Amino acid sequence: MAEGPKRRLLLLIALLVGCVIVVVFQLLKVQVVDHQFYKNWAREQQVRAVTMDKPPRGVIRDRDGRLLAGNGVRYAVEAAPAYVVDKEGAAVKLASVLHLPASHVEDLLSSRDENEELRKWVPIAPSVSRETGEQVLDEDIKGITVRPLWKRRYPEGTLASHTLGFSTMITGYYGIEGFYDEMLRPKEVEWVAPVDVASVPIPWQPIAGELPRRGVDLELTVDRTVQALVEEELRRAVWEYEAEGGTIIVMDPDTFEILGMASLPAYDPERYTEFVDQDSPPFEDPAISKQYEPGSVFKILTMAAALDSGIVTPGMTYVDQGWIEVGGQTIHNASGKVYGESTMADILIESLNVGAAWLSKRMGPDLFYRYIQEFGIGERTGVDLAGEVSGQLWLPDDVEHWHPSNLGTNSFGHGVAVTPLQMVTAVATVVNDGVRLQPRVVGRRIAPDGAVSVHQRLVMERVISSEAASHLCEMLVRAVEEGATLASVDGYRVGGKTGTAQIPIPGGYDPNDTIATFVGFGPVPDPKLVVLVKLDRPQTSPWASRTAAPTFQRLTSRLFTALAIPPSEDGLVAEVGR
Amino acid sequence: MSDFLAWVTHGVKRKRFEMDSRSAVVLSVVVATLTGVMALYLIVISRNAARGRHIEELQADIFRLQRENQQLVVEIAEESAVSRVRERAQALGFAPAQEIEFVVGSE
Repeated sequence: MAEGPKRRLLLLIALLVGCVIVVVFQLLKVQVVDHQFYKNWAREQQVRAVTMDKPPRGVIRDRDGRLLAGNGVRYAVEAAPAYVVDKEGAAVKLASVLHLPASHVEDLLSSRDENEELRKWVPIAPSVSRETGEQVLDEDIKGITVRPLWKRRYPEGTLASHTLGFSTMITGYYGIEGFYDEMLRPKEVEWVAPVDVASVPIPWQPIAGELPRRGVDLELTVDRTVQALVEEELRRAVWEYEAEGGTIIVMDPDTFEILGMASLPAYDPERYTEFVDQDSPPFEDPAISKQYEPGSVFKILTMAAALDSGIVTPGMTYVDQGWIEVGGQTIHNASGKVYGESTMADILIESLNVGAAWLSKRMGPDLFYRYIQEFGIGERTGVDLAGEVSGQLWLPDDVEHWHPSNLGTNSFGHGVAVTPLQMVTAVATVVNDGVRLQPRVVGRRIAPDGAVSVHQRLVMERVISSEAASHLCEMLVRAVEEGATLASVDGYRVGGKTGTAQIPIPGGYDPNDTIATFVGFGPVPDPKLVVLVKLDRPQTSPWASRTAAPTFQRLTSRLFTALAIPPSEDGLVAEVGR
Repeated sequence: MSDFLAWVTHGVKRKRFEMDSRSAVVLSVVVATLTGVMALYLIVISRNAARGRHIEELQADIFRLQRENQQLVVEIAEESAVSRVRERAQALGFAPAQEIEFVVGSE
């Protein structure tokens, strides 16, 4: 080859090799050195995290499977203004369906961001009914999306509102909704998938590793019929006795299952937003979250401790002088009377403060407070409801708060604070042969795969002997038959105790108002129900025997009928053969 | 031909392209195989996409039916709520029992 072409060829080869080196270098940089950077960049554009349709929250049913909290459907109407071609036409159509001013909708559809570009997403109506949502869908307007939403629904309205609590779209608060929130919540699945330019998933991998799962369903121990009767009688009592509010709890003493529990004032859990701005919203359940001085119903526990410890026997008597001195403080009977020689049963029948203080004084602080604590006073019962408080019980080792006179006043329920649930649990312990169980509201849990978990009864401890419990129950039956006669139920033997307590205020006690309580059970000898009735500040009479006791009588007689609990032999009208 | 190309190529002898029949067969087989593989790949991918879309539609149906089911459950519960049952019973002339008499049946 001639010298000239050869040189030119070499030059060309050198040029090409140089180019190849540059290209190879660049390839190495892109493919090897900056590999991760470009890989991530590409992935960011190709792949999006897509949340699959959200499954529903677990539902709540009563013990017979009747729905108390479920899930309805609402729709959110939203727009992507950039994709809405005929904004004026779309605004007119949407306005007529959503009952909004057309100009307002058109403004939304034309709204721009800070860069003067049409917004990518605008909410038009955040929550509309299913019918309205379907009407919008039927209009088939380009750029308008209708997204389904779950809305918590309570088909029974205000029934059991405090027990259920309420739920927003995401979180449950108070009651069952609050306590079991984690369990009730559905399991959402975020699915990382390849998308097209409009961020619509490309179905290469249609099945995520895990599908979204609905929440766990709960079946309560609450009976809807019992609950309805409880609420009806509570409303009647609050109205009839002009009380400020009140609480009723119905418990099964064999299992400590709560069959019904209501407090007033109540609220509609579906309309919880209407109550949020109130000074004291009615969301907290007074049955577990508000403590009060129980008054004379506490004498049941004092007597139980005295009988079980052997300090006294059922047949023993004492001389009631109308007063007793404990820790430097003189205690009188509420009636101001002197009762002379009195039996143990008389302490409960006549509700003698002096007798109760005499018992606690004989027991001494160590023994007395040991029993009171074993009955669960001063600690949470452990019920499966959100917001339970522990009450207030000062003990002798708390030198700052406890005074020796507390031993006397505590014996008849003063200077000690309990929740209604603590009180009914303590009395149910006596009725249950002296064994305390943990009260509960949820009976069964049903997982999304159908697996059922049954809540077993949880024995806390034996507080008093079976014999002491039996003697005390008989005394409490006499307390109704000879004392609080307005609580007696025709055809049934029931037991119970009234309690009229003053209300502590700064500097002493409210001179005018009281809290009236009655805790009773029946039918004896095999009680199926323990019922606590508490009325706050009744105006027609301050006495529990005239307010809470008759409420107990009305409610219990209806409950016995509703639950098909037969009367004792002498209550039967006739015996028929078949 | 431009001056630059003439400057580069003059004096360089271009060899004629020739291929024997055996090479042609091999090349044809390779091209056919590659075409087949690509066609199969496209078929599999498109079927996969179609099935994926179908499954997505089924999932959407499941969610839609789940919503309708939940809504119906709530509506049924509302219709059989205690307050509603009481209203209907009263409208039908029923009233709460006043005096209940218990009888015992024996076999």
